[in-house]
Amino acid sequence: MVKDLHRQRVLKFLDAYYSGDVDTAIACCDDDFDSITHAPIELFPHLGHKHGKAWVAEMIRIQQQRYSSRKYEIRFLVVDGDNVATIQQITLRKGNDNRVLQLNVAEFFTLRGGRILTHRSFFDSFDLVQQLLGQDLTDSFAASVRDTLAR
Amino acid sequence: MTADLHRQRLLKFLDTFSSGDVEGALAYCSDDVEFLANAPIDILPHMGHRHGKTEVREMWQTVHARYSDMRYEVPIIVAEDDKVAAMIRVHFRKSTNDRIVQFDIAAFYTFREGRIAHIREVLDTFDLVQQVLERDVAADLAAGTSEGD
Repeated sequence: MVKDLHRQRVLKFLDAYYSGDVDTAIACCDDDFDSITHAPIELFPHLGHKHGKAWVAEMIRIQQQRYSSRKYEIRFLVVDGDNVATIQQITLRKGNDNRVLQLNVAEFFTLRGGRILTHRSFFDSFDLVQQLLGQDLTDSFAASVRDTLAR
Repeated sequence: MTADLHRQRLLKFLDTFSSGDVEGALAYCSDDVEFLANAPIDILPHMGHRHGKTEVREMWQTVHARYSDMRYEVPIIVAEDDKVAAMIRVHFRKSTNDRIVQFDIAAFYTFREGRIAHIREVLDTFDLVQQVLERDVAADLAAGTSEGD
């Protein structure tokens, strides 16, 4: 059944991505692979809108440089026609100071010919920035929000 | 097919909610509906974790008070059994100054006995904070001026 093939393809991609198996991860993607990760590209220049499956290899390389451990756990998975949607809980251990970062990532995959053609990704980017900085930013900005809303 | 019914029900729910009919939207939800959107709740108090219709009603009323007009599109919807995932592009008009806030939400719904029992939203909160504040937070951070002003 096509649905099961798509489910298995996405799971294989995620396994390969987080285990660092670049060849398998790329083999799961269409040549016209197109990805949008919704995130501030001023802070994460490797995210945003990317085209071509070479980006998958680049992302794996960047994450392997920054994190000594990368794990994922599926929390939600649905398949419908050519579309697959997931939520994963991601656990990353920073290479430089061993701090552990946790985030939930939501992803939408659209497949063509059994391979991933489009990828749309979302995460709580404000929280990730705070985790990376090791600093609570909300106090700094909450006053601005109250001022903005009062205007 | 159950998935098709849930897909249609979700689209009706989104239409009802965006029209401002909070009670109508709540009618699509179970009494113990749970809502979770990871976000900095000090800055975005209408998000976070809510449990039960009373808490969700209060949150949605806050959203509708802050935004005078809502439009949405659903570029992707994925339905299987009792679960539906939707990528939703929303355009909200701020009540205070008529400015438009636009962002995409990854929304995940679990149905129980035909009603929405669980809503999980994931979004680029950094971008939303910038739009709500009307301020380039990334530039502030780069300049080390997140404190004060």
